[in-house]
Amino acid sequence: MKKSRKRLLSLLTALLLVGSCLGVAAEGTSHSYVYDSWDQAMSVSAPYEATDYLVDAAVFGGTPLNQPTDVFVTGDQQLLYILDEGNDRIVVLSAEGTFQREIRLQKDGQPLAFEAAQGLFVTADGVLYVADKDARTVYVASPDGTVIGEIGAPPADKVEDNFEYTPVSVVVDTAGIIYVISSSAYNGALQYDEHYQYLGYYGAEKVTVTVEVLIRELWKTLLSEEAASGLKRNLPTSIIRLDIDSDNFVYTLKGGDGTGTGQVRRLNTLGGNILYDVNGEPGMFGDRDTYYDNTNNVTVTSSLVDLVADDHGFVTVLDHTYNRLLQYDGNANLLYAFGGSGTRYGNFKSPVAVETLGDRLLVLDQERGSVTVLSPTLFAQNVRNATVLYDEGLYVEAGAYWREALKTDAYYELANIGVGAAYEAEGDYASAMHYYEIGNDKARYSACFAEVRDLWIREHFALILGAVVLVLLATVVLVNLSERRRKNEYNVQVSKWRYPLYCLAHPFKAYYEMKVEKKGSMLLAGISVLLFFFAGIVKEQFTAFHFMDGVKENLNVLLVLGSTVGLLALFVLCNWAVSTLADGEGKLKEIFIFSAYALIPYSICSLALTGLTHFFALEEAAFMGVMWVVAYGWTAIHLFMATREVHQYSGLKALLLLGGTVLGIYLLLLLITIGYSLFAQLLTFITTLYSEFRLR
Amino acid sequence: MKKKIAALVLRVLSAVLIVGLVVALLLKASQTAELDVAQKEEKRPISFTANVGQTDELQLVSENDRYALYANLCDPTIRLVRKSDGAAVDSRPAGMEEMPDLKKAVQLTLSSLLNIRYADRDSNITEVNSMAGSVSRKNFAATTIAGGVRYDFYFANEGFLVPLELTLTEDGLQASVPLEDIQEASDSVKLTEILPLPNFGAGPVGSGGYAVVPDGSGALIPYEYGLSDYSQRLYGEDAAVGQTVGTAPTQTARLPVFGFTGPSSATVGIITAGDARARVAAKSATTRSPFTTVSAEFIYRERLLIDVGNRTFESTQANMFEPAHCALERFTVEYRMAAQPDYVGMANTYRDYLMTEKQMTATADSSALQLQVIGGVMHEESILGIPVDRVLPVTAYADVQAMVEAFAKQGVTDLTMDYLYWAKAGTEHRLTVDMKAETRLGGKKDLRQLLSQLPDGVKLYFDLNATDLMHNQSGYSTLYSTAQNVKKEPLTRQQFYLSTYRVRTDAAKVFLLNPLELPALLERWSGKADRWLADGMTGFSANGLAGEIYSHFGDDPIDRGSAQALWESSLQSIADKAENGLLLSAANAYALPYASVVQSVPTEHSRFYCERRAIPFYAIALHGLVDMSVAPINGGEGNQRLLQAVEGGLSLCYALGWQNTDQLKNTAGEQYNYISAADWLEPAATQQKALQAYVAAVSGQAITAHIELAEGVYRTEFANGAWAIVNYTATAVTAGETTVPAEGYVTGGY
Repeated sequence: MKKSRKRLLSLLTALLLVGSCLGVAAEGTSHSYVYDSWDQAMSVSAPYEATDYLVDAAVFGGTPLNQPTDVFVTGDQQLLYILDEGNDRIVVLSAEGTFQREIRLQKDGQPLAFEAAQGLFVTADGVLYVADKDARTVYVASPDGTVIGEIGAPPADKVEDNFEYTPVSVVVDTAGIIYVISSSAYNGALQYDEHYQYLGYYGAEKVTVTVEVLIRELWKTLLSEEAASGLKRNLPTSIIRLDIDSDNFVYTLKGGDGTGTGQVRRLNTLGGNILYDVNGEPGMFGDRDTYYDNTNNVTVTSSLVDLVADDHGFVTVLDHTYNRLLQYDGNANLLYAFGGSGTRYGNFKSPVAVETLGDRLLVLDQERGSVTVLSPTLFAQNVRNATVLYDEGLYVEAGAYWREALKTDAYYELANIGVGAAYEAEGDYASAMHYYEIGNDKARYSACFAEVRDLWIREHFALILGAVVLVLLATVVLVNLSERRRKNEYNVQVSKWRYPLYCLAHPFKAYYEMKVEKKGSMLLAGISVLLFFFAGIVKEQFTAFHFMDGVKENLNVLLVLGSTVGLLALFVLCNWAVSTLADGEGKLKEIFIFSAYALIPYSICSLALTGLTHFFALEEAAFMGVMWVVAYGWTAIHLFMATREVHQYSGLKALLLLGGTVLGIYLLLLLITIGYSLFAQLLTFITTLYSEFRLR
Repeated sequence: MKKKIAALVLRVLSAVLIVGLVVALLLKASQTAELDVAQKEEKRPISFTANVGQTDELQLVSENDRYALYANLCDPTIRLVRKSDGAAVDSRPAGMEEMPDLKKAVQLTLSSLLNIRYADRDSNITEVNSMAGSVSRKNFAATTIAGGVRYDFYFANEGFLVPLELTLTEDGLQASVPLEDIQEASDSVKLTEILPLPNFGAGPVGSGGYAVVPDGSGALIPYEYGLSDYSQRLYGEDAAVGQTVGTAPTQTARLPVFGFTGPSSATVGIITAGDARARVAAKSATTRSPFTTVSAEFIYRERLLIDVGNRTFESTQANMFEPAHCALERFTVEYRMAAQPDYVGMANTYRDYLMTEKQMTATADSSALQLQVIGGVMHEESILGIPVDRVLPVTAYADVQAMVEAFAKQGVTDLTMDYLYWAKAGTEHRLTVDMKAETRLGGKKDLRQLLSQLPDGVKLYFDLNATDLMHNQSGYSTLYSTAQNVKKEPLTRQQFYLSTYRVRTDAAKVFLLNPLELPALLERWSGKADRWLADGMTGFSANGLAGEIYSHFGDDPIDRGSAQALWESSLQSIADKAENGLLLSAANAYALPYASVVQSVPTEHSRFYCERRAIPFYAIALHGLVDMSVAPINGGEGNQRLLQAVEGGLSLCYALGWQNTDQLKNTAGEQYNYISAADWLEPAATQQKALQAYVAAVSGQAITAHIELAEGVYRTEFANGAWAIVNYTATAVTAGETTVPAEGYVTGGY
């Protein structure tokens, strides 16, 4: 919810942003970027540089690669194996990229041709596992290529009826347990023991229950079996790739359109996901920006095709849409996206697999038959070193690397947070707050804010205590004085000017009197509307950073005007329209005055609470929440009473009227929207016509 | 009452309904009624008489002291011979006839003297070579002219006549296409590009030679089977042409040169006319055609991809062509053979060209540390709750003074500073025609103070913006004073999303001034500048004009081939104004003759697959003719740019900001995310002191040799005997008696 709100907000800010965002990127071989907290892509220093490009036939033993499908680096980082599907072989290179040998599988003395070999895994002792999708088997071969076993389909009684065994990816853990991905299986990976006996599904993901799913389930119970079979099945997106790290944690990559969350999961031995972002949610992987391609009528999103996890917990995924690599840390934070399409080193045409070799990355390009070796730049080295230390809780040590990264990337959020954490660990909370603010980490900012505030309170305790005592005393004195001066309760003559204040405290009585005695003032109502508008702006502008939802510089006064004055105008108009149909006694002017008076409590509360954000930390946000509830409740009572009295309604009728008003506002907004879009169509039509004329 | 309301509501609803219906009908009509696309085709007869020579052999058509030009008037081919050593360059690859595997079509292509590209009625582009389109049907005329030979190729099927004049000059061969002699038979089949001598000096695979292309610093394409071709527009793409999808950034081709080696020679092609309308293209050898070629491609008609029929949620794109063809007189390439048979020779030949033809002269030695100082950028700020656009000070006028003093304290007193974003509203996106100082940076008073207090060793250049504007200002309107695209809409700078490469529609619009407004603008500027000159301003920079040039396709159009002259005269008038002359960043060739200082000299290439490595062609060609520095070292990866500076004998350069350097996100200065003076001032001073003597010794010298000692290890030699070895690799390297540390350098000989 919070996320979606944030996204909506960022969408809004993006739409409203009139500032100049000139991504004048420096000349280089590719854009590298990272998303900031507002999901806006920000360019960063290039994290990886292509240092080697293996493509010549000589590198691969005299034959160029032909439609290679997978690359694998052994656990000791010494050898790299390329599954050269088109040539029915596996090419072995040293870590330096020199040709070692090629392996051709033989079964019963006969050479074996692949049908659609897609996944390759090599154990520490050189045993090869090749998943062949169309041959519907996983070959297990000794280092010389002799097939010593095959992992076939699981027994039919252990899987669903229409199960098809199409293995595409295979990994083996150090205990010999084998995990196989079958491309059409939705229940997770197939798990086999070291004797290739099927154990069961592993890492299945539950279908997230959404309204859509519920409705579909409902239809299924209602429809005949035949009709129901036409409905989409409620299945989780299937896993398409596996990887395993040295601690035997299996990583899975989901297929699908690359949007949503949890595309990459890190599974424990029970098959549960342990890869979460800082909010404890499954992370978001892949590009966040999408666009609508109106020639093909599709929304273009990332399509992730491979992943690799290294021993430090960094996960790199390969996106086939933009031919980019995206690297994440162990908390699913995107560190940088890089690569891309093109005819330059470090660009790709049809990348299908990614592997790590030490701190380098290998990318296998299927169409070009090439392996690109990418080495981390100084920037990436700093970020990676810092992340490792940071994850171990060594904030100060990590801070040194983060500072280096900041020298060339002053707004890189993770580095700002990292430097903030280093200051926090050293006890310099004020500096920490500065960096947390740039890094947009509100929780940590708030924690430091609380520290600074507590320190201040401790230092000035006597003063504060004195002030509190003084205020209390003054209140007692004032109350006493006013009690003494107080006249008869029933003969109170409140002047026109003090009437709004009187309303504040006496909602049940004041509106009635106002109606009868006609004490409402148009001028005061106008002032209270201005106050309402002012409170809206103050809330947008002066809320403390850690309570702020948006960016204060992006404030659009017109939007605030619309959401305060505009809303009130709509309310008044609809209220009047509905009430005239329901024998209401209020005139338009009266309704306006009454509604405006009723908003005063909201304005006051809003102003006060905005001020209070500068005294509360996020942990104490519950207090603020309670106070907001009180504020809303108070306002609601006023609005209700004002409506009731202005029309001289009964309670129930007033409630119905309020409901009717809300409905009226909704309809009116709908009309405005439709009218606007019609008008926009007309406008584009005219401009099109005009430009046609001008061009011909 | 109720009835009234009901009637009112009914009336409103019916009005809305009627409007809606009308709009829907109109829309429907616009979709179905296909506008009459087929234009009336007008055929013009082409006047042409074939004139085919009798003797099918090369004959001498012209010679001078140094060169001889041979041409075959029966089967169009030419040969350029240098008399001193007999080195020859042929228009078709020598030895082609002895290759039995070569297909006939490939042989024809490789024999062509001139290729053209044209757009047919459906706007599809086709390339045809002079052999297949004209010579094989004997549809050509060969005539000897003063100094050489002229071929008129008549492409009968396509309906074009294109002449090519080949003449000898003192320094080599000139290939020229006189545009007024081009004939087109029809309006709907359009000639778009002309490629003279596409196979001149084609390099055979396995000969060990290479082609040179002007990609960034310059790059080598070896004569080997390549993985891709190379093609880059000189001086970058034309903003008026417009792109619909962004691409990853590449280095820009800034020099109008290319080159190729022969068995014992190196030839450089210099595009001397029509460079702003040209591309340099290289074709890598393939197994079908085992020759690498490099040549110039001239754009006769610009192809424009535009959005037509912009409806609410969809848009259609169409190919359009520039209404009129290029307005220049000629497209010319001059081929000169270098004294030294390698790329250093080529670059020095171009250097000679700059000295003799462009009147560039040798400079005095200089070793100042070069800086790019960011003044202030526009950003949104909230003042008493009201967000306003105002300038965020990064280096105020007083801060410049402080920076100079801080450097002096570190022992660095010679500084050449380019002051960017210094003027009102942060310079970028506001024309500096009125030379107004920015209040938030200290205003007029502080600026005067700064000018009066600058020490002797400090040269401060103020950046001018003569092209970009965001709002109406000083009598320039974003609607009427701007350049226009072919749809006659005001031209804006396109911005793209980093991730999806789609056009950003939410970004603020930056308009480009109509090129025709430039002369008057500079006239006005000149008056205002005089006052500042009296106050002590001594130099200006014009990075915008030096780095980009664009066309105007609206009413009274001017293409960028012709706009170039306006650009040059503008640069000239700015350069003449101030005593320290003109500073330019990453300057294109047309701007170089007017520059005293060139910062951000390109030192990298785009790393296309066909390229083997970068070569410091730009640095060699200009060494000693102008003060040069690398791009800001702190903006580069590690100390790569430092090494590049040493390799090219360039001054060091850093980009610095004094305050608020972490607040530049979402501003016009967003790319300066690395400029904190707190981080970089000391390292800059340290590096400068370490290299000052070397830079001083080599800055005025020509580069005589540049040798690759090992992969990633280069030795540069200068005319006065000074040398440097740089090592880009991660391991120390021993070259002769010198050990060069990993990612380090050694200098000597001075």
